[in-house]
Amino acid sequence: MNFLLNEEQTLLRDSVRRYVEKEYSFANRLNYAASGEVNRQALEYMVSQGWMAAGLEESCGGFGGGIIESCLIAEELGRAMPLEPYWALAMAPTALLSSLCTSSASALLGDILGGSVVASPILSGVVKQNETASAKKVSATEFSITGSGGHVYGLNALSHLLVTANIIDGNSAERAMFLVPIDSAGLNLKPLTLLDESKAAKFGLSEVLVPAESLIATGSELIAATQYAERVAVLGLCSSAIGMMAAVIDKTVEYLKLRKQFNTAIGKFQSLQHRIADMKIAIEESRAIIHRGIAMTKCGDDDSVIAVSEAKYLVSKNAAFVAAQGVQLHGAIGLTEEFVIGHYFRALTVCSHILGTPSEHLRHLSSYNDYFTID
Amino acid sequence: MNLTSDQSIVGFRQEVRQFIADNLPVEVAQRGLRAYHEEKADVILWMQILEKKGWSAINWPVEYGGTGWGTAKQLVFEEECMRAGAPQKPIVGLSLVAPVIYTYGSSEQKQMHLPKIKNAESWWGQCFSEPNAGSDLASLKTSAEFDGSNYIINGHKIWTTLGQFADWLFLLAVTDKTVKPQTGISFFLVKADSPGITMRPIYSIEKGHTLNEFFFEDVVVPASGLVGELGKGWSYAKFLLENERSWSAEIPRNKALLRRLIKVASQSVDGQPPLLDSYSFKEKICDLSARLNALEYMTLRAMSEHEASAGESISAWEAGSILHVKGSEMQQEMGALTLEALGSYGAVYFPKYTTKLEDGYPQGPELAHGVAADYLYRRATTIYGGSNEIQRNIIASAMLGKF
Repeated sequence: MNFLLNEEQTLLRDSVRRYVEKEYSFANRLNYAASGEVNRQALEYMVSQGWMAAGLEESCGGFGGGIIESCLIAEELGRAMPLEPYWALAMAPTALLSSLCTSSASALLGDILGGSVVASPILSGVVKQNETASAKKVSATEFSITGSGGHVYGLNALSHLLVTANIIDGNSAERAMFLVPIDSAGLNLKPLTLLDESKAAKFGLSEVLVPAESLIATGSELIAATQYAERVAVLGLCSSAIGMMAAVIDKTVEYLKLRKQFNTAIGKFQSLQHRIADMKIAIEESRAIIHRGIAMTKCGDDDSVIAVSEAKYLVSKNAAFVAAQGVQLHGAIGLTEEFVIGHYFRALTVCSHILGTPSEHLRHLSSYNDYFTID
Repeated sequence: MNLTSDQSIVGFRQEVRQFIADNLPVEVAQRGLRAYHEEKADVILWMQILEKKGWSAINWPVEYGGTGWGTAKQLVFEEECMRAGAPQKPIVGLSLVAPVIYTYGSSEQKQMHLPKIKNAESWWGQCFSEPNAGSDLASLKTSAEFDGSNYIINGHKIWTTLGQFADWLFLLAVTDKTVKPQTGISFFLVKADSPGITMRPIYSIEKGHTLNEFFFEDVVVPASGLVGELGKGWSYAKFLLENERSWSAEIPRNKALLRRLIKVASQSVDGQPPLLDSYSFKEKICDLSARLNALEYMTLRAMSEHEASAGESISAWEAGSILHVKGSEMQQEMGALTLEALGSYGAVYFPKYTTKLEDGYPQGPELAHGVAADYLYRRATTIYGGSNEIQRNIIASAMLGKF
């Protein structure tokens, strides 16, 4: 293993960082959050830079990267608390579609990489099974889908949903995945504004009619592909949280050096120094458990679901700690809507609570006997 | 960054595990697993076994008789040793002073010391700390004055681990009071039985004896006892600590401690169901496992960076301090939980491991032996090698810089 970024990875990281610094300012973010409009520019930039494809092998339209590269992008974008979650809009669908062998899946993957389709699968984290809707062939050219859906993130940007459903035919059922336009009749979207002002939705389907060509894939490979996409999405969300934690730490370090009380920069006080050290320890621990999650997921390790759950557990816990200390060390200014640190607090709270809370992940982990058996 | 693991390491782990199973005597392993302080005879026996295999100096370059292994391989080896209960090797010689000798020592010093460190013929004690120079090592007072042919050492050193077995000591002493410590301290190798040296044992809270203090009164050290250049002692000491940096999370020990915790918690004590039946205890184990896995990856990262950097610091995350803080706190946490899993036996004093219960030796689950002693001793982990408060100062000062 080599933990140092190679030349290409360094260039990639730097280019995302430059983009965030120049184009994705806090003020800009506030405007989009207030208007509820989609930041088309941001989405187009991601497409034009090939960032959508960063996690893909060359054979799938990528440039030979993998989860390391896409997590690197998620982390750097995370510094800006983007309203368009890269892990949901890029990492999850590309991981899902690149794991499927059908020509429809490759065609759709091409559309996503090209930006003409923005689609996300339902994501619930690795702690629970998504409920599966039912589909029926109602004519030679149409399916009707009914059932509960689940959560999707980055709602404003989405043109389509990737919906898993069982095609019921008499007594047999076959797992299938459909591409469903977001404005389909019968798609009951309940939009949610999250604490960080990003948009999500819980949705259900009642007799949603889709054309036969929107069937993307069928069969048992869908299960593995969906699981893989969930794991990749969780790692991406965790990496995004790392970017936010890094930003909180940078801002806090800056503040400790500037803010004076009792005629002294408050960073001279040892209790505050130890607190900032603990924040650093927390982010490095988080980084390490993500590295492990990536290493396990990449090589298709059976334990990867545990490794990913461990990552989400630990990152969520540490994110909450770092965010809270960021506010605390800023004092009252940290409580204001005007200042950025409170926004990070909210965004990190969202990271901790979606795709499985720490408690849910811990409960999930403790259901594996591997932890308690000694060879 | 490439996180693909080296598949050959899996085979290597098996090879080491098999070697230990074939060669480590069972009664030695039983003592080792209880984590009481090592008996010298056990250590020597194990070192001789390793020496025969060519595995006694795993961290040394091949040219000095070491294995030349990379750190990832060394880590696997240490994990397997600890897992099996092998006695801890005399690391003060092998890992602390030996790299200083083969990097900065004279050819005479290398010939004289390295072979004997490698086969455990000579044991070493570290004399850095002083009663008034602990965290603030730079304020040490022990002096070495050159009389034209020898250095005359006077002073008081303390916290010398296993100094009672030491044949040799390495020490830091002031050779120039007029300059700052970074240029006024030198590094010496001193025969432990030199006239003028008095050793006093210090018993610690586990009622064991590993710590000692040394008094130096006009101790004559020949000029050949000086390592490298005069006044460079501080930088040699930093080099010594830097070598140990990526090891400071004590992954092998933490992994072994977790195994023991699970074993103990699987047992029924005091007529109660095993603690592992409890939901909240299981979650504690999962939490610890996740943090230990993170710590292992932080260690692998530090090792990978250390190797790539050829000794230069290239990383901005103060790895040594972070690993030290997390690894030491984890050892204490594991100890506390294991003790708790012993129920009322957690409060019982078991003097040492024995299968022959003599009259008066406390009855209790066999796994209880050594848990409390280790728990008590490991309060040291957040203090030795720079207390965790000092480590947090180091981390913060790297973050804040000058302001």
